[in-house]
Formats: sequence, C-alpha cells, structure tokens
Amino acid sequence: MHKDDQMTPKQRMAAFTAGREVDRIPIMPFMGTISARIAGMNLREMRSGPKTEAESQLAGYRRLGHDCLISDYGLHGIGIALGSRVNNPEHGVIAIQEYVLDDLNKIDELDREKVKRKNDPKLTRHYAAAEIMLKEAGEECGLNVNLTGPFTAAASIYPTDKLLRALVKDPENVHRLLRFCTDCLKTVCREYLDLGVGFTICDPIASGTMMKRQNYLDFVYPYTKELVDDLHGLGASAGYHICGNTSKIIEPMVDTGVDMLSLDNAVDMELAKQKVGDRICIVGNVDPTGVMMLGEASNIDEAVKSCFSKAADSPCGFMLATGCDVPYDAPLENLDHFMAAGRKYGQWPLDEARYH
Amino acid sequence: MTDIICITGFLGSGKTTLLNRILPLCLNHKKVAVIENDFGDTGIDAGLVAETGAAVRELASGCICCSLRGELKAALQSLVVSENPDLIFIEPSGISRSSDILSALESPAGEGLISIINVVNLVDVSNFEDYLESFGDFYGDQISSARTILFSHQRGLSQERLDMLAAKVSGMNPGATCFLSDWLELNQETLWDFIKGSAVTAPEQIAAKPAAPQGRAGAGVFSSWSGRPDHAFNREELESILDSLAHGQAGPILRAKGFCRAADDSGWHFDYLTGHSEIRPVNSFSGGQVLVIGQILNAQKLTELFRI
Repeated sequence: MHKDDQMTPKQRMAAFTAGREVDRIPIMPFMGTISARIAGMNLREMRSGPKTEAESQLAGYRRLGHDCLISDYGLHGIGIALGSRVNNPEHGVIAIQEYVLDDLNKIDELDREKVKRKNDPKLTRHYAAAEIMLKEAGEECGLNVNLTGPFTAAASIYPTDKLLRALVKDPENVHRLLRFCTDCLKTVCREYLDLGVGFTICDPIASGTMMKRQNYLDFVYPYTKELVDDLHGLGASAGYHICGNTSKIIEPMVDTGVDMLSLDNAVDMELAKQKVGDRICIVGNVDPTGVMMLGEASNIDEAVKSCFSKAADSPCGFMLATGCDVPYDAPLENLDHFMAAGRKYGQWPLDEARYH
Repeated sequence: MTDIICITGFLGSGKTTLLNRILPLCLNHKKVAVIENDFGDTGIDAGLVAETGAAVRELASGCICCSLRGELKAALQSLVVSENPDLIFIEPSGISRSSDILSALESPAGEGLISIINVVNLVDVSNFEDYLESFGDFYGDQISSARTILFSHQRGLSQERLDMLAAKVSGMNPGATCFLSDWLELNQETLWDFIKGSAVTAPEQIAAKPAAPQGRAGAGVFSSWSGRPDHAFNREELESILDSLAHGQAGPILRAKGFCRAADDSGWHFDYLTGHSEIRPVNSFSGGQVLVIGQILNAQKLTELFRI
C-alpha cells in the first residue's frame, strides 16, 4: 500500500462501489505507456515479454499507488492477431503498417480462431504479464484489461479512412465486419476470464471527431451493448472510454449498460454530470497533453481541483482520471503532482470548501 | 526558413495525384521534402521522387487522438535539421483534423524555422454531401481550416449542381479561395500558382469585383476559362482586350495569360495579373492558347474578345 494512503486500491474500490466510507476518491491516471519510463525502459523493451510488461505496470503502481493495474490488449489487438502488420518503435505507440483486410468482400476469409490465446503470441504475453501482476500486487490492487470496442477493432483490420467511407458506400459489409469483431472480442474476454479481471472498452474511432451521432447509434451502440451484456453475463465489469468529444452520444454510451464512464478532456464534466451523473459513475478528465505533459505542479493542481468542483457531487459517484493516455514524454513528477492533488481534494469525507 | 504547404483531404480526394502533378514543378525550389501520414497502396510516384530528389518521411500515428502531434513535430524537426529543404509538403492522413496539425506546426518549436504558405483542401465534390452528413467534425474541420479549396470528381455533375455544392463548401469557409473548375485540366504552372497560394495573393484587388449573385458560390470562388484563338492580333488590339478584361467586361478577372498569333505569323505572349499587364513578342509561336481565371466568367464574352 502507498505510504500516503490508508486503504489498498482493492479495499477502496470495494467500499466505493458499495457506497461505504473510503480514505479517498479512487484515482486512475491512464498509464498505458508512461509506466515504462517509471520502470526505466523504453516501449520496445516493455513490449519484449511478459516480465517487462508486468514490471512496467508494477513500477508505476509502486510509485503512484493509483487504483488499477492495466493489461493493455491494445487498440490494434484484434487486427494483429488476425494478421495486420505493425511497427515496434522504441519511443512511440505501435502503428499498423499493413492491414489484414484489403477488401470488405473478403471478410469471410478472416479466421476467428486466431484471436484465441493459444494462437496469438501477443495475447499469450499479455496474459502471462497479467498473471505476474496479480501474483505481485493482486492482493491489494485490481487489474483491468483495456480492450477495444468493436468499431476500433474493425479499424485494426481494415484502414480507418476506408472503413469510414464504407459507412456511406457499403454499410452492409461494415455490419458484417462489426459482427465478426464483436465475436472476436467476446472470445478474447473469455481468455482472460479465469484471472478475475475487469474490462475497459476503449473505442477512439467511434468518437464524435470521426462520425456523427446517427452512425454511432447504427454501427457502434448495438455491438457495444451486446459485448457489455456478454461481459456482465460472465460476471465481469465493463468500463467505457471514447476519445474526443462525446457530448452528443453520452446518453447512448450509458445505455450500453457499462458500469462506469470515462470521459476525454474534450467533454465538460459538469455537462456529463448533468446528462448522465444520476445513472452512472463518471470518471475524468485532466488534459493529458496540455496539462500532464506541458503543465507544471500548479496547473495540475488547478486542473484536478476543477474536476472535483465540477463532478465530485455527481449522484452516482466520481473518480479522478486523466482524459486519455498520459503521453510517454510527460515529466514523471507530473504524475506525482497529479496523485498528490487527487489525494488532497479527494480526501474522505469530501469537503466542497477544499475545491470550490 | 522552410516553406510548408499542407495538402489535406479525405480518402480518394486526389491528394497524391495532386502531389505527383506538382512535384516536378517544384524543381526551382532547390530542395523539396514530403511528409506523408498515410500508409496505403497509392503512395507518391517513386520515379518522381528520385527525379526531384525529394526526401520522403512517413508518419505512423498509432493512436489517432494523442500521438500525431508529437510525431509530426519530430518528423518536421528532423527533416529541417538533416535536409534543410526549401519546401515541405505535408500530406496528413485523410481522417486528421487540419486545425490540430496546424496548431502543432504553429507551436513554439516551429517558430522561426517554418512558414506555412498554404493549406490546400481537396474536396471530393461528388461525395461531399454524404461525407458531411456521416463523418464527424474532422471532415468539416479540413474545409474550414483551408486557405485554398480545390474540387475533385466533378464529372457527371451539372454546372448548376456544382455551383450549389461549391456555394455550400465556400459557405463553410468564406475566407478561403475556392477554385471551381476541374484542377486536373489546369496546366501545371497555373495549378502550381494555386498550390503555392500566389494565384490569389490579394483577392480584394480583383478587377470589378461584384457582390456574389444569389444562388451562386460565394465571393471566394474562382473558375477558369481556356480557349485556342487563331485570329492574328496587333499589339493595340491585344492591349484593348486586356483593358476590357481589366474593366470586368467578362466578369471579375484575376489572371489572364497565354499566346496569340501576331500579324506576321510570329506571336505574342501576354500576362495580366490584378491590374498589371505585360505583352511581349515571341518568335517561336506554336498556336494560340489563352487561360483566364476569375469569378463568374462570361464565356461568351471571352469567346468574342479573342474571336474564337
């Protein structure tokens, strides 16, 4: 347990979700990449095996004491398992260089068996890393698997621009691809299930920056709801994060049945509270680039304070987080400042006078 | 100082075709580089790259929302430091928000190193309405962030429908120069004038600029007219034609240039640009050719003036 806390993340989350007393509000910076730097490795080293992958998360946890460890199946996970080719940069996130599908009429040639752990070395690594993390810190901290939503999974199989064009030109095949992706994601979830983990569905390509609300309702919502229902049927929790401004789709996002809603910094937390705060716990949303990477202690304190002032009284609860993944190049001290500000304003019982 | 030209547009709008067409014209810029943010099967022409000596960098943006900014800056900085080009074309991914790219370029790191001389957006005009209705704000952002807008895929559209679509696009960015005619039919030199932004340096200087008539595209919309006059003119006649053009008799003219036959079977080269005209004799005349760029051009009047 971190020296500045009185409860372990597991105790805290259990109490928080049950509406009981906690030592502080849960705090969840997105630590997908920057944790590698805390562990003194670059991203290629982090990706090199289960031990380094686990150690990077654990080093971040030991330093910050934040409230969840991550097994990052990744935005391209489904595509890679099926045969999309990616790069492996030392200091950047991986990018797809060749997509496994070049023609939407060839969807039937994709093989869902390939996403199973026994056939996917990448999932094998993530699973082994998750086992290490749970062995080392599972007693005190929960582990969440970051998955994609079906739409972003489709964009790891077939190029995003072509996928968007197909929304207009070939919607039937887009539905077929999404059907396939949803089934793949259900398969992947089952592979993790015996570890007793939770899931977060990340769907950046379903953002309002990429598509209009009606397309979200037609192409994203039904498949996501099906995935969430499936996870609940398996006894697992599901969080939800879509990058960019999701103000116009925030209600249907909650209608998918997810257990908590994580918001990008492009969304006003006050507005999120008004629209859906009585239905779901909202999580957010300090600017990862403008504040976490380019800001200093005072900016971070101010940004955290603003999140509390807007959302701490949200009826179904509020957790502090960053609006998206903290950039790999952000100063590490800024993570300490973020945690310190979260512990200060989030100390239980909450006191409006501290942050208003 | 390195000049930057951004070429933006969604999938299939002709970004790569445009680049392939204008790269040979950049030879008078000593060094040209290209930053591309699209992995795909239609890259820029390898032979051309070899010919022009252009350095090409590809950006791989893993997470579209977060990492592009840093990656673009890094690619730009390394290009400027290692190659010191005079001109860099940036061809961002078809799904990126131009305003994000411009703000990354205009950040302190870029100050003093680069100068953005134009932001050209290609609009696939036949799909424009469908895309605008379906896509998120990246699509409109590409239009509203542009300084010059070119329309691709015009074939099969009536002039009336084209005018209506152009008015809609222009209405999303009234400050931009929209070029309504098919840019694929422009000669390379004139196209290059548009791409580097010098074709329309000062729209307020356009001769006899009218208020945009109802139902037509906005004040920033330009089109071109071309003809092949065979009539022989003397210098006074040609001066009189350019004078008529300057006074807006065929619509507000931005530029008119070309070759006409002279009385002794030699030729004239003429060039009119916003109030200034130049006529000079040329010995090797190989046929009349006229290009006029302006707003709401009167084709019938132009045909009359050049006696075609």
